[in-house]
Amino acid sequence: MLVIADDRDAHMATLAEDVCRVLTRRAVSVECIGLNGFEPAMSERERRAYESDTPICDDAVATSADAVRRADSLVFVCPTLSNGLSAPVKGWLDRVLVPGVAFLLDERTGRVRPALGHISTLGLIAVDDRSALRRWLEHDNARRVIFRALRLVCGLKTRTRSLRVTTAVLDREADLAVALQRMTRW
Amino acid sequence: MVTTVVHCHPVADSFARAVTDTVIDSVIDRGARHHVIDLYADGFDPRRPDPTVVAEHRELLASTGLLILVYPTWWSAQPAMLQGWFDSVWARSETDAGSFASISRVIVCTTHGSPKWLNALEGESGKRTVSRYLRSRCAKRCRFTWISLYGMDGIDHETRRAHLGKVSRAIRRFVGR
Repeated sequence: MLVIADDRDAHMATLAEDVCRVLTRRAVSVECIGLNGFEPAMSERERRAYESDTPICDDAVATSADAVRRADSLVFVCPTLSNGLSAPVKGWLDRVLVPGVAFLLDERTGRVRPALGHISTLGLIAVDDRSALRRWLEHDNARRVIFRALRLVCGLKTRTRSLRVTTAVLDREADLAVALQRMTRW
Repeated sequence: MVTTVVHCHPVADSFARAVTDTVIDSVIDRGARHHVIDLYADGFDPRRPDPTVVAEHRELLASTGLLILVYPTWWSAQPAMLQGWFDSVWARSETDAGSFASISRVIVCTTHGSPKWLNALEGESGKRTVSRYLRSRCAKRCRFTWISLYGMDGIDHETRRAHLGKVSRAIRRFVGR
C-alpha cells in the first residue's frame, strides 16, 4: 500500500503518520511518500521527454514510479485548498504517472492503454472544511481526478474509498483516531 | 478595466504559448490595458509562494475586469503550477474579503490530449474548478467562456491553426466590452 501525502505543514504531517500507523496495524505493508520536498511543477525537460521512451528525468520521480509499480493500493492524503487536489499531489500525478507508469501509448492506434491494473484500491483522505452545500455547489474535484480520471487507468475491479476530515477533527487527537478507524473497512 | 492573462506551460515554444500570443495580440488590437502573468517564466513557487508575489497578484486581480487563463489540461485538471497559484492567490482565508468582485468574465483557453468523450467520462474537473470555484469568487454575474481543443495528440497543423483563429475571434468579441 502506497500512501502519497502532502505533508507541508505539521498538521498534515501528523495526519500522514496516523494514517500510516492505522494501515500498518492492519498488517499491511505500507510505504509512505511525503511530498514536502517534492517539486510539483513539471519542468521543460520533463515535458519535452513526456512522449519519449524515457519520460522520467529525476531521481525522486523515478523512486515514486518504482513504488507505484510495486504497490497494490494508492492512498492520497491532502488538504483541499481550492476545490481540488493540492499542488504537490497534483504535481506528483503530473510528473510520476507518465506513459510507461500509469498508461501505455499504442503507437499504431494512438490509443491509451491502462497500466495500473495491479491497483486494487484507490483511497483519498482529504482535509476539507467546506460545508456540504458548498461542496455540492463547487463539486468535489479532488474526488473527480482520483476516482474518475485516475480510476480509468486502473483495473475493472479497482475499489475507491474516501474519507473527509475537517481541521477541527485534526486538532483533537481522539476525534481523529475515531475518524481514521473507518479505514479499517478499506 | 484591465485584462489579465495567466499563462502556464513549461515549454517556451509550445502550442499553449502560441495560444497566449494570439490572446495577447487580440487584446492589444482591441486597445485594452493588459497584464501577463507567466507562472513558469516568473519562477512562481507552487509549494511555498513568496507572500509578496501573492499580494501583488491579488492586487492585480482586484483591478481586473477580464481574466484569461491559458494552460494545458493534465490528468483532467490544471497543471500543478496553476493549481498552486489557485491554492495561494485564490484560496479563501479569514482575513480577506473573499472575492475579486471586479472580474466580470473568465475565459479559459486549454488543450486536451484526449478526446472530448473521454474528458466527459473523467468529469472535467479542471473546467469545474474554474466555472464553479473561481467564478464564485468573482463578480456576482461573472460569465464563463470555455475554449478548448480536444484530442491534441491526433490533430494536424491546419486544425491547430484554425483553433488559433477561433481563440482570436472569441477574445476580440469579449475584450473592450
